[in-house]
Amino acid sequence: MEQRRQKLTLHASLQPKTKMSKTSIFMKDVVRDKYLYLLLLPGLLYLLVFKYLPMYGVVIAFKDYNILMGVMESPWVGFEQFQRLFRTPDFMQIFMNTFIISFLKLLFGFPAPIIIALLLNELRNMAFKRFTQSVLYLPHFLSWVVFAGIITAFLNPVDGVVNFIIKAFDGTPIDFLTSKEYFRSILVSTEVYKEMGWGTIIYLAAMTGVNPDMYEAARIDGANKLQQMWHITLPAIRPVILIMLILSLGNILEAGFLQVYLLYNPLVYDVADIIDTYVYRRGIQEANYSLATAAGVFKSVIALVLIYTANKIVKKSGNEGLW
Amino acid sequence: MVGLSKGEKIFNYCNYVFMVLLLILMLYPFWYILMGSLSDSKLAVGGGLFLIPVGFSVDAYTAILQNSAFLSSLGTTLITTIAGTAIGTFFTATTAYALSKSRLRGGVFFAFIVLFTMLFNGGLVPNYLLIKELGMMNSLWALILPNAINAFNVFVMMSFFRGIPNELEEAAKIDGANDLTIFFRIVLPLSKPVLATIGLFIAVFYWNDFFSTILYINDKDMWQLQAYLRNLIENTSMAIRGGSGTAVTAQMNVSPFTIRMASIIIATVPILIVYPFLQKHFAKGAMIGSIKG
Amino acid sequence: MKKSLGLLIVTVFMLVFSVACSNESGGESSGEKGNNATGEAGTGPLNVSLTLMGGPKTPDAWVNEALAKDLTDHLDRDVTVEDIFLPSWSDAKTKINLMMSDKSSMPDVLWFWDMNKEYKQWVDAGVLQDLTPYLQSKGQNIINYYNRENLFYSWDPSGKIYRIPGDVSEPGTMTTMIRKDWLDNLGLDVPTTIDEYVDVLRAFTFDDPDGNGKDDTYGISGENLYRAFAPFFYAYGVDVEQFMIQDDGTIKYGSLMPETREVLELLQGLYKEGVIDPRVLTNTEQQDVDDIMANGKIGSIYRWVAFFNPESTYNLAFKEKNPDGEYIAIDPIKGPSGFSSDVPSDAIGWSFLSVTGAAEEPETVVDVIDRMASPETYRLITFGQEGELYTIDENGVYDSKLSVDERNKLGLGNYNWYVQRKDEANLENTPEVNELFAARDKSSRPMREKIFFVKSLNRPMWTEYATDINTLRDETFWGIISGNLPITAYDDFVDQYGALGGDKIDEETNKLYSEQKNQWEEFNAWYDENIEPYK
Repeated sequence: MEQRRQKLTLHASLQPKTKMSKTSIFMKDVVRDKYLYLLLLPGLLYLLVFKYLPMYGVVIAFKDYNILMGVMESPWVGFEQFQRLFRTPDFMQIFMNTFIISFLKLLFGFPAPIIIALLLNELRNMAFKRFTQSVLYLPHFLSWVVFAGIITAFLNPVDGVVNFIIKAFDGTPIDFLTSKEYFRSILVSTEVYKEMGWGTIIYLAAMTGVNPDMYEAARIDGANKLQQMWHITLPAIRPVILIMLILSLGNILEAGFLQVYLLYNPLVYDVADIIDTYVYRRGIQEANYSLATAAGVFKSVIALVLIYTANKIVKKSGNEGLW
Repeated sequence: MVGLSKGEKIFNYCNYVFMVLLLILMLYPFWYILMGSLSDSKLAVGGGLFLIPVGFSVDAYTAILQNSAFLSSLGTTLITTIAGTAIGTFFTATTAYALSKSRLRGGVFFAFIVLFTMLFNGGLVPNYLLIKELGMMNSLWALILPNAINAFNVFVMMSFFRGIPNELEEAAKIDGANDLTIFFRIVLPLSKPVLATIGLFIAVFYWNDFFSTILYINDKDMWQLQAYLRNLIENTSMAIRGGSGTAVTAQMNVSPFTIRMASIIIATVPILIVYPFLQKHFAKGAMIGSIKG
Repeated sequence: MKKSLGLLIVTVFMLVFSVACSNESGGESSGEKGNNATGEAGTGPLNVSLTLMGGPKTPDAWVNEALAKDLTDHLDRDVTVEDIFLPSWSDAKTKINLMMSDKSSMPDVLWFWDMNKEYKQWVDAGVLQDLTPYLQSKGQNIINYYNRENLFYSWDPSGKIYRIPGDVSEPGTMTTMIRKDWLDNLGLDVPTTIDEYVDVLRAFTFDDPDGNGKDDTYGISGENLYRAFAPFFYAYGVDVEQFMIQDDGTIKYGSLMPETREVLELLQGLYKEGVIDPRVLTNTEQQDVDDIMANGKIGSIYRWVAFFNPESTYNLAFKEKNPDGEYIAIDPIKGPSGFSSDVPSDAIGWSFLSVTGAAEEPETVVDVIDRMASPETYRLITFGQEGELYTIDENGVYDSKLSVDERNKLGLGNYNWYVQRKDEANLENTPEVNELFAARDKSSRPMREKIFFVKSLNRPMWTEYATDINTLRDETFWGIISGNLPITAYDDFVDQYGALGGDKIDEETNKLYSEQKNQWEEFNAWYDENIEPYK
């Protein structure tokens, strides 16, 4: 088979004047890669059945959904659900809160695991390195409910540890969780804290691909540790970093519902109320699948645009993107 | 090997100090939870730092473990985690490998198809109806299949596969290998770090999954572990915002705090044990090493 | 490696085929329980499925068999009870919705809470059965236990009853608690008026009531809910979350009443002085308040009467850490006009039971619920057998022979809120606590008469605009209390209320108020004809 393909190529190159039609080139490529398509097939079939078959449910964003009527029979309402969302007096503020919080989380949360992974990579004592890795990803397994309880207990102005320290240095206790100045910083730092260690796993895996000889060569050339990280390790894991960056843009409007919901209070609504918490509060008056779906579609469309743009930029800069 | 320079020594020293500080910071919440779970339930009310248990009691653990629903839910979660991880990792790999080849005709289209599922989904009811139509309600398949492949994992794995030098494949092709044999004989063995990583992601997802139970399982003997624990925790304490205040009067005899802490320990420790076994695949130069050999 | 891969591929293909095949039979396999579809009582074996939320949710527990046996004896036919345990509170509504989306997955009896919109849809779609005839023939325990008002809120104006309450709380469940030992230490009397109460709270804060020489006490604490300040709001006769009946017979949202402004100003002052525990701004969980109470630095708090049950966690934890400490329940504080009230519970109930279209013998199913509502069966499934699992001493004090864990193992409490009896059949409350409940019934009455409890499930304006209004209200009120906003912010809130949709809400609510009065008349006539004679 392989021989036949080689023959074909040979044949084609021998007769440069006979132009092959686009279709036949296409077909030839498809036949050449038939095993790749075979590998792709189960995944595609899977997505078709388990993701695309139920996808019709998205239309309830444009309907007044009644669960007993079903998705198809429920009455169409056009963009009314979106309008209900947008006409909220504070919508602009809620949208900006969502964006700012998740942007800050990306800004600090994205590089953090890369830096930690670089540092872990430099540890020479294997036992210590493995132990550290295992411990670093512990916080990922804390549920927000429990973690929020610990945060509240630590930060409270009466008997929290943080304020105990402040008081020990003759400072005035600060009620962090009701303060508009501090609230977003708390959201961002606790999120980074919780996910930073877990995030290193992917980069550590990527760093296994670096040839150790290169470090040796660099050291002989007199490169210090930082220069080695910058010129060897980072370029080696750049493709993974870029893919992760593009994918995280898909979460740009996911500011973390549970975290915000468990930590916020009316005093910080101004800086903390996000799309998800707002939709949740509306759901308390009356469960509304259509409104929640509309909010979801709104977020996804923005995410799609961002991912598409980011992918384009990445490819223009000469790197490989999602496609 | 060149001896360590002075700068490198300073760097290493700082690095170790930083890591130890980070360790303490990261370890504390778990220490707090562990000590809290071992505290006397009456004394634990009131909070504190829990550097050591307040009083000592393993009642919270017995309360969780002796419930007959615990063992069955642990069984369900073990099966779904193992099967789901095997199926999920394998098919994530096949899909990702095909997409990693830029020569693949229609690759952009297929990548987009995969991406789209990351951003849009049909919602609860259509998914529920699908599983019902497929006849999977109240079966382990319902807990395994709907979450086996996800777009994020496919793309991450794809970017790793791209890093495998093309020359290896070219050489294999000249030796008469086709794409299937290349994938199984060369690519998979070279990709242990990413297979371990994605495998871990998938395993953790299945381990922590409770929502599939809510959607697809009625029989309490088939609940997943996290569904059982969530229910247990909420039964002993109700968030003020969530529920009706009057409900609280009905059940106030169990201490919520120690049960909650013990359930976290029980839920987390098994999955934590997995990681050290995977770590050997993360050894530096693992990929290069195997290329040489 | 290769072998296992081949195996995997084979498995997947088999799976796809098996899925494709089972697809055809999937729809029919379910829903074949019971034996006749005429609605009349059969004689063969009966399986009744119930959705359950209460208790430990222990599967295949003793209590399930005990109930099945009790029902078998009662109905004189083989009965099995199919327990469908709902998942945790935050997920159970999703589960209920999915189960109710199709007849083949509906339980015979649905237990649910909130879900007004869905309930309305179920009624409209005809998937719930009218219980009136079955309540007449088999529902004596139910109609004797619930009063006229309880049934009114579940009554459909078309003259049908599609749900009955699963649990209606005691008329008053909360009380102002105060530290008796601190009052004694400082030589103070139990406060009765708002001025006295404020003075006591100040003394609790500044006069070192526990005598430890440290300034570490607060007058009052609580959760981040308005009810934490019920002693203040209720003394002034307002509940900021309810619609209040005005002297002229109209309805007004409690937040807008001028008394609210006075209370906020008072609270702002107390917060600034340090009388109010600042944690009240961030306490979102029960646990937080439990902790604060257990640490024993709080003089007064508004909480549940059930705290005084000697076995309650709060009580045990508090006693453990403060052996000399003692909270007492006091009468509600009187306001400037002499008005006083505790927080009333509504008569609507917070959870409900419906019989779905899946029940093929609805009359028998009602009989089952009714049996569960009888004092004997209720005691059996809630506390077990007397003598074996618990004793009642001569003073009527209940004593369980089992630990909490052992009771959980038996599944006691699994059937909670299937007509939860609050009378003598509820053995757990000590006589003192029962007395407290009775006292709250009286002390919550003044406010009960001033609050309009809305029956209608169709409140489009409220649904649409309430979130925005309440968001602004919460920002404003908590902002004022904490001192972040001046009291004039309240006036801005009142000014904005109308434009935020408040005008429409007011119009809607006033209309509902007059409609509800008419409905009450109609209902009474219906009740006298359809329920009263069948008791």
